[in-house]
Amino acid sequence: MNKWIKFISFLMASLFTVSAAHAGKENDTLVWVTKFEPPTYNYYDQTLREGVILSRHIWDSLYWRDLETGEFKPHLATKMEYSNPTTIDITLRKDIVFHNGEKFDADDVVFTINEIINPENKYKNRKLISWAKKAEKTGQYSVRLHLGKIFAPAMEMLSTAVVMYPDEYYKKVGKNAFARAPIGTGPYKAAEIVPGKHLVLERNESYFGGAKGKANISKVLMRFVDEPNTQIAELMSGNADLIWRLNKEQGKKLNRVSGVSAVAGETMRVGYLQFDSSGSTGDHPLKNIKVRQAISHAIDRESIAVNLQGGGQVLDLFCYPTQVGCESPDAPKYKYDPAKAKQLLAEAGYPNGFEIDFYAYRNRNFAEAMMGFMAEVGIKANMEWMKYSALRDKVRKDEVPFNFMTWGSGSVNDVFRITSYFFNHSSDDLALDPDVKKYLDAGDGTIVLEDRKKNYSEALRLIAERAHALPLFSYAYYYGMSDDLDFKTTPDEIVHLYRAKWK
Amino acid sequence: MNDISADHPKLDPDNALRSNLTKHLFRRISAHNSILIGGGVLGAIVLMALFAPLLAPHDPFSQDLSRRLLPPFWMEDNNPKHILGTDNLGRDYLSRLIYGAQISLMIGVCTAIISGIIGSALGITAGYFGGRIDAVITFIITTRLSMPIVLVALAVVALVGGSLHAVILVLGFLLWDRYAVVMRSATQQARNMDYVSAARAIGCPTWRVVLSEIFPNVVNNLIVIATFEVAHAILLEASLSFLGLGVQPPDPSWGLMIAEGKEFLLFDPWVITIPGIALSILVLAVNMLGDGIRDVSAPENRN
Repeated sequence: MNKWIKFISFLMASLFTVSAAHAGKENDTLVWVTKFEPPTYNYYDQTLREGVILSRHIWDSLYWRDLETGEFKPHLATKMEYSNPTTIDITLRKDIVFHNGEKFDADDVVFTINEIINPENKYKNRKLISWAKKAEKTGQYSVRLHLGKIFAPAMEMLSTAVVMYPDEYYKKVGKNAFARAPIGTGPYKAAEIVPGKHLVLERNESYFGGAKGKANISKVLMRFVDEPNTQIAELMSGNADLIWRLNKEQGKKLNRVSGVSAVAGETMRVGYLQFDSSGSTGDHPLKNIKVRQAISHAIDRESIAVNLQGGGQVLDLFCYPTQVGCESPDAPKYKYDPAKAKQLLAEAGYPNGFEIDFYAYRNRNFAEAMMGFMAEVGIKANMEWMKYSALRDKVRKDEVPFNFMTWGSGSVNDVFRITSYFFNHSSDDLALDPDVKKYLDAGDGTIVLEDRKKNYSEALRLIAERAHALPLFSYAYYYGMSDDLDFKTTPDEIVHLYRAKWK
Repeated sequence: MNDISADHPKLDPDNALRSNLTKHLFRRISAHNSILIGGGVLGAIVLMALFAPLLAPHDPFSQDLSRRLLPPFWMEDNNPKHILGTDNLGRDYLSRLIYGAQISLMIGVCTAIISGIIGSALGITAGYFGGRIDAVITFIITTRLSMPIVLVALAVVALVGGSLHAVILVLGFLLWDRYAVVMRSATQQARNMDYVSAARAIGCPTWRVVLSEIFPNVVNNLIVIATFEVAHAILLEASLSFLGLGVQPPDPSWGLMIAEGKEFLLFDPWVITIPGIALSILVLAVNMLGDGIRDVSAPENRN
């Protein structure tokens, strides 16, 4: 069996491989095969996950959130502190140079932040910094960041997603040329970009290390292959060292093949069911709290998480457990209990169930399993399958009473980016619950951690109690890697290649 | 029938001729392998679809996530309760395959009926009346032929949403072109026959001429095309379902089963192979039957 799979995979790999630069330990080149190529290598001008991952390699942020402890550690900056709740004073390191030799100083920080914030420049991922108002140079190595209004996860953002561009080089070459030859301070430099094919990263030999540490492997080749079975074939035939986003079955089977292995890495991505509890999409049974509770009891989330997905955990709160503020001891938990679900449905006036449209965009098998569980208590959910962007727009237009979607919080380890995002009466909010909003606003509106936690806890309790949405489980990706590679997964859904090393 | 013709050979020559023809037809059919094989296989699939509730060992919709992707009987670790294994959600694969036959056949037959009615009506009208009417209908046929079926079907289904009814209607309203073309030329031939002129001469109304003189003489063309269109519709449904726009889960459609098996292609190829083979057999059977009917009903057209 294994021989056959290896043979087939070899055939497939030889058929599909464009440039079979042999992967591996011998030539110290890590080949990472992934699905999507970023639409541009100008990080702030795109939102794709692969682009986000590259931002952590080519560039650096001011502070760095330690991947194990979650602690914010000095990185490009030596010190960041609030002088008042809407002002952050930043002191920078003095010994840092960009890949092209340009010195890093306050001008780079001020330029990057003000350039991205400016709405006229129309960066696609402007929201990464748009919570700030402006940056001001206070010395050659010191910057003052004005927030305008309180933004609690500012430290989190400055320690992860907000990376620094070189001002002189960027101004000289402009937005588009920068995307073709990006320059940063990070542990790797972009050595070769061949659009549609691959990207070569070379280790930055003069890297300062900081909180991230220097890269272990000297070269990374990032290749783009659309089809997961082909990716697996590449890995098994030795043309790739690392692949990811495999499903549980593929991971399980990969572990039976010699020379490669698969591990599940839990991520911050949360799957959830969203109910139109406010009735803004019209009249339907989900307006009734008992119906929503019934659905929450009807679905065996544990079974889907364990059997279909593997590696994730069932969630009781509408956030990922490590996120700041994601705790609420008094919130009710919905155990799998079809009898209770039926009883609740009968109390709600639907003893024989009802029919409703059920929208989803990914993991068709999860959606189907949930439809199966709902069918057991008499609810006939009709699947409406859509592309993510189409579904999101439809939700925002109040046309979706019931959906299964997922949210990765943009890798931001703070409730602000998920609970507040979905329940602050924005167009993504279908609950429109003023009590929940009140607590969320109070939590978002302070930087005192204890106050934030207290308010978020209340909000999360109300969301669960009123069953505005049902958090399902966290997502896990299976990573496939060659046995030579020593690589640890992290829940931020980011592949930190500079940490990888050979065994 | 044999007895009748043997008992009264001289009294009823008309009946004798008919019974001779029937005998001849039966002889032709029984000597024709593709009709026997195609018809036999198709008959078996039809019976399987009709008696699905009796034949299926399990409920095709009942899922058990802890028993998912059990392999079929010829592989190790198989479970004798699930001969063809279980799918991605732990549903019995054999039961889904049996119920899937219902959907494939229903789509094939309903589509062929809808498109057959539209196509024959247009074709016979054009062929019989000719002239301007023919020009207009030929234009409609050309317009239809210029549209790529799969793309149009995809677009329409994407607009109205995928469901069994939507697929049947969309395919029914798209696949009438071959009927129209063939019926038109067959009618053109038939309308110049002497018996048609005779019927007109004795003052039969047009509808009567068309229905009782023309139609019976072109109907064998209709049957042959219908079988091909059944196969065509089944394959198109599978394509649409494979692309996620056809029959919606949890209904067991073979195309959908193939789509769901796609991600297991490398390690569990049986997930995609089983419905794939079923689909191929069904389409092959329908096509063989169609070929056979053509040969038997009009051997002079054989080439």
